[in-house]
Amino acid sequence: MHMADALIIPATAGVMYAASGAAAAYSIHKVRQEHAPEKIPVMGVMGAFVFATQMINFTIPGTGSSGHLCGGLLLSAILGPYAGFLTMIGVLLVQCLFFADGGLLALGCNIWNMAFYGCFVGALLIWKNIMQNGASKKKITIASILGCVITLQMGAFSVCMETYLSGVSSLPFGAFLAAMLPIHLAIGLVEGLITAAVLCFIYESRPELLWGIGWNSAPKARFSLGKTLGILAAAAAAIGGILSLFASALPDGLEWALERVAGTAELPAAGAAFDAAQSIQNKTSFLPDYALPGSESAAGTTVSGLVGALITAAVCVAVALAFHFFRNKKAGSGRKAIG
Amino acid sequence: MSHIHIDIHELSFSYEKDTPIFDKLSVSFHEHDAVGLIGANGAGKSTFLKLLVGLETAQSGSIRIEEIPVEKKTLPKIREKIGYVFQDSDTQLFMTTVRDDVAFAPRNYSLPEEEVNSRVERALSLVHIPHLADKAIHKLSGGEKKLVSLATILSMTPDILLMDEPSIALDPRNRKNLIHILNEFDHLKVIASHDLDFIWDTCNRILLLDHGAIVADGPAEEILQDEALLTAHGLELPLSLTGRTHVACEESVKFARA
Amino acid sequence: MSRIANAERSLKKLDELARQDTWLNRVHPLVKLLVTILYLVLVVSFQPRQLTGVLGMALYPFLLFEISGLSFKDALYRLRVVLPVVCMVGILNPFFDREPALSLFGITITGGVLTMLSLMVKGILTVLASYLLIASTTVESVCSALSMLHIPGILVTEFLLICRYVSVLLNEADRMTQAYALRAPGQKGVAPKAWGSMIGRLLLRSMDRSAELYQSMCLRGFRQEQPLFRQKSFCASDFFYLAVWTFILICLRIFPVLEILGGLFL
Repeated sequence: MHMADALIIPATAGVMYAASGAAAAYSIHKVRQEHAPEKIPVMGVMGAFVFATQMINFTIPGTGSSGHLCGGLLLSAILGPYAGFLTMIGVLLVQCLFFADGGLLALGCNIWNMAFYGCFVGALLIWKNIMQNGASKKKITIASILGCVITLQMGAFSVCMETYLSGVSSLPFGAFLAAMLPIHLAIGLVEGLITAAVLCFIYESRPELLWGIGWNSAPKARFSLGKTLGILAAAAAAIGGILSLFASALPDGLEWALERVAGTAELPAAGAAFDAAQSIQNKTSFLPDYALPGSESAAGTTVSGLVGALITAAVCVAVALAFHFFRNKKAGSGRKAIG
Repeated sequence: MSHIHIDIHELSFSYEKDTPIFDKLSVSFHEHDAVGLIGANGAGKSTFLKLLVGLETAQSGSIRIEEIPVEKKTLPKIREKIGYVFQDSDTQLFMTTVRDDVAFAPRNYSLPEEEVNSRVERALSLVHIPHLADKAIHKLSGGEKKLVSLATILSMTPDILLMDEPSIALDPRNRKNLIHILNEFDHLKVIASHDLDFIWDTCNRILLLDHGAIVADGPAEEILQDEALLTAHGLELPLSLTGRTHVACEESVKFARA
Repeated sequence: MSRIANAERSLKKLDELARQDTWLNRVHPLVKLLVTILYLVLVVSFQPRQLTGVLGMALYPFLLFEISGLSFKDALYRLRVVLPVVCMVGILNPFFDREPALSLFGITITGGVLTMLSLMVKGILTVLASYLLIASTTVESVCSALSMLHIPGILVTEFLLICRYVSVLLNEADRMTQAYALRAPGQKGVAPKAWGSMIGRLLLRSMDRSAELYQSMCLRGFRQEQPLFRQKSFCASDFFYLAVWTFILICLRIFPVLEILGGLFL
């Protein structure tokens, strides 16, 4: 589910960075409020733990194939959603930098698709509400499977949405969804089962480590189901709003995609929002559609461009060969001098 | 007689209410003592060390380090004077390079950068590993990690050094090297270990713990050669003092054949 | 080779590369990070059909690979993760977009083919650029660049600790799976029966380790929000590097360099 940089455009990356950044800022605020400096090493080591367990293959019975763990819900069920979310950011950054698993620009998207849903929806909404009157192995299993399946579906939906809005694929949105959702239903189920197995083990051996158990008996449940749903809906609406604002502001990619589907390049944008979008567009217009006056195609690829590419490639290869030749010669003479 | 560096008075400590680890324990250490804290598994060696640096808090009694009582508000001051080397080097070393790790404590005490650098150089040369300064921690061998752990503590220029099982997982050469370095450290040191040969080579005073009580306290030559005392408390004579290495080998060969 | 051993090996390799003493390694990490991000933004900002524009951006990785002496082969190895996904998304474009876009030596190329190709080129270039960044920058340099960008200390410390303990935990996971495999011959992975106890035990050990780690940090004066590193200062060559690349990359983005070049020959 890790998105590569090539699948998005700067506007999508920016919006998703902003959304994930806001969630991260809120989480940092929450973690700081706890005044628990001992959580920092826990986050570091648990991040490494999630990373290591993702590398273990789990046999899926009856299929012969194997599955892996993603870890958002698992982390949050131990560390709480806020510290869990921050830990997942670290894990995703390590994967992106060291293993090219997801791009640096797409990190905002990946944090949102994998960490946000897993930690906030999975733990804050599903896990906490199921566990509020105390835990049992059955409840843990249900919460884990439900949490993983639902959050992975949301994640997969977001992947489709972000790719589609970036306009890099000509695939109709519906077809894209039809390809992504069923696969992630299966993945979510397996992940849910693994998460359930691990959390049940923890519940049996050291239940005090689990987060959010029996909080209803505490003086006041701070988030009701309705309230949390409301917050999530507001967040979704806000992000949708910002996305469409950007969509109307930046003509490339997005509009091109919409044109294919709706047959129109115009998005309904009214009044102030449109003005704001216009001003953003003016500010970002340092990247105009490049074209020389009189070239064959205003915004596309031209024959002269391809010929130019071929020539450049030939020159590059020649330069590289020369470079290597001289480098080897230098190294060779150096070796001779030593010998 | 040199002045007292650690003074423990009627110290009581327990993890759970009814099972005390220490009950009214009193002992004091002097400036040039090299104390070997010995005892079988679960005798309370690690807990004892952790109490000294305030990682655990005693229920009653007092600990004074250089006249300063160990309390929550004095901990930063105490921890500047007393260094603790963990058993697991991977726990001790959490930065990514040797230099950063050794510089961690001096930086935290807000020393100027030149002072930090000179402390790092000095600490590394004290343990004879200046060449490892820019190496990544994960590329060090077990022996090197132990020496770096020691350097991270020495960069704070402590008056007192505490070590928990320092000889575990060291090969013979690294072990000899560590013994040599520890003997060069001229301040008070307390080494907890059940590797009695290592203790024999590094300590001049022995504290034998059993179930949280001090059952013997005296010169190393006396206690480490007292076979009856050691076996009574779940230990055995250091191998270098038994002269029975061969016998032990033959016995195990016989056992394997049978 | 197992996934775990593979991951360990590639981490080690990257770390070795980043600790070399080459001119690219010496460039200030924040400058490298900013240039990389600028490059990524510019590459993905090309419209789906602007294949030649994207191709022009290959200049940056090409030059850096040549000058830094990093192995292009190692970088290609990383593409195995990204390319399949990118191809899967792009491969259907030619079927959905059959509108002819240009004609080259009598062959008509459709818009779908162009968008597919430019998507793949974008995929390759972005991965190469990130590789050039991380293969020339150590973990602690990344951390100091992040803290110069005012990323909160909690996140930077956490990232550093993850990097430090990934190899330790991978090692433990490797030993556990090996011990498991030795007693469960013929199994492809870990059977469901052992899922909970195996990962659970690793989890408990990690929690214990982090508790001790916290003690060890406290003993050496750790406080929650403090910078772990002294920040490196910039030198003239850093500004030069930043200025030159910003200029070149923006030129490549704004002017159809390849088309001008091709026009000279047609």
